Amino acid sequence: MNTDVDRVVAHLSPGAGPGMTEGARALMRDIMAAEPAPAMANASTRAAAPAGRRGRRSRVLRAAVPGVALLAAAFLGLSWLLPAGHGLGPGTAAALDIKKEDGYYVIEVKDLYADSATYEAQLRDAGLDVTLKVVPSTPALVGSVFPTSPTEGRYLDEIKTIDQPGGCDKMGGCPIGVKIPENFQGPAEITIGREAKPGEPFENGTSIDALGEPLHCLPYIGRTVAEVRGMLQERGVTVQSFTDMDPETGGTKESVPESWLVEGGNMTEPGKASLSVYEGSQPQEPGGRRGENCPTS
Amino acid sequence: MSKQRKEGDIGPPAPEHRFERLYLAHYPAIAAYVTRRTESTDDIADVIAETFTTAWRRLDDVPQGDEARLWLYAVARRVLANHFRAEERRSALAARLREELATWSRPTADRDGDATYQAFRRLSPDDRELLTLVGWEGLSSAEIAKVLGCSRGAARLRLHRARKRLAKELAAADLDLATYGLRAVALAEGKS
Repeated sequence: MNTDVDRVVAHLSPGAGPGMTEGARALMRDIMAAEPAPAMANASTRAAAPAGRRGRRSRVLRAAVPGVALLAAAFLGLSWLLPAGHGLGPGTAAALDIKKEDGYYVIEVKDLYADSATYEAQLRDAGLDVTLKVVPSTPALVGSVFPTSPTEGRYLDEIKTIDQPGGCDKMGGCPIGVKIPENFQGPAEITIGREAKPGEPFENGTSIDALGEPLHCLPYIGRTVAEVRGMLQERGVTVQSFTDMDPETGGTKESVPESWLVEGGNMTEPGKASLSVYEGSQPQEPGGRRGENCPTS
Repeated sequence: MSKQRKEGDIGPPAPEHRFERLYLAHYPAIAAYVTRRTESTDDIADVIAETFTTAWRRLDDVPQGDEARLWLYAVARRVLANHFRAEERRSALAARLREELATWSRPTADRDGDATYQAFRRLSPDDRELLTLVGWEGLSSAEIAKVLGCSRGAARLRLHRARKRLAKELAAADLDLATYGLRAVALAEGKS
């Protein structure tokens, strides 16, 4: 019924208008010209805000991170060139490569599996009050870089990433380095996404249909658990757990009826996913993320 | 690598830069949302201008990523609700846009004779709003919850009820549709 009713309503839609016209562009310039630029002191704390509210559902920061990563992708062009060979233990070689160039410290992570103390010591030796955390991340966020200020609770615009030229198939972007201004006072906390080892839970993740994730651009929202399970299986992913979205009886569950409907999902560890589900009467028109990156049909 | 770095270097997200991104990414969706719900092209221009002026002023409050679109819908929704109480106001900002929209020929569907449309019109404004957010904007119930500022559960439940009510209205309208159909057949056959 949902599908039919929604289709009826869709047919009643009046025209959407002429779209992005010259007048629309003029309006954009006018708005900015008419008033001074707003202060953007807290631009990124907002992006992170939902984390607390949704933390109950999963320890993966999946709800907060899409915003974070999109911020990165859109404004900083994030990510990291992951060294092909890694696995050196701490101390066997420098975990970081730190150089001074053009008024910036340019930092590259050589060993993605070093512990925070090793990074920190090296950063401190270079005179930087910076904490570096390399966390196992879902595919879209492998390589993403997210610098925040632990004292001011904001995203650090001052710390820049260097984007890889050309296309990028990950929501978190595809950067090749990070730059910290020499005069940066700190402190800063930089989180970098790395691949997870088999069985290692993701600490940083995003929606399962984000760019780089298994169900990217696939209409899975509104489908039954059975259907989505099949879509995932085809991509080598099994469903590990469910989040029942019911406000009263909900929570994490190991199994739910196959006829329940899927509202969202995220990867929990390599090859495993968790789905947000609810007891729906019948499948809805399957939906998914409508992104700039999806082919239009 | 240092050459690439120069090429790929992206500056800090200055407010202008961020607003531009926001605007270019979401203008079409927001303009469509406003256009579908506003009759006068002058009003359309005003509501769009006010929505994005709010976004510029409160850039700090605009969430990142796709959430920004939902935030903008919510602002546009409030602007629309208030706008009709202050219709004499005309934004000085949107002069060019207003001109353009005035010459844009809105496709005029004669919907008054459409029983489906009539059934839809019989629903409450709340029900219509929910159904159009799905049918026109393609939002999920979770996204609608964000636009309306209610819980997901509430959005889902309200949407479910709205769908049921429209289905009921449509079922009730079947008679009209059938009558209309017969009349059309009769006309086509030259019997009336």
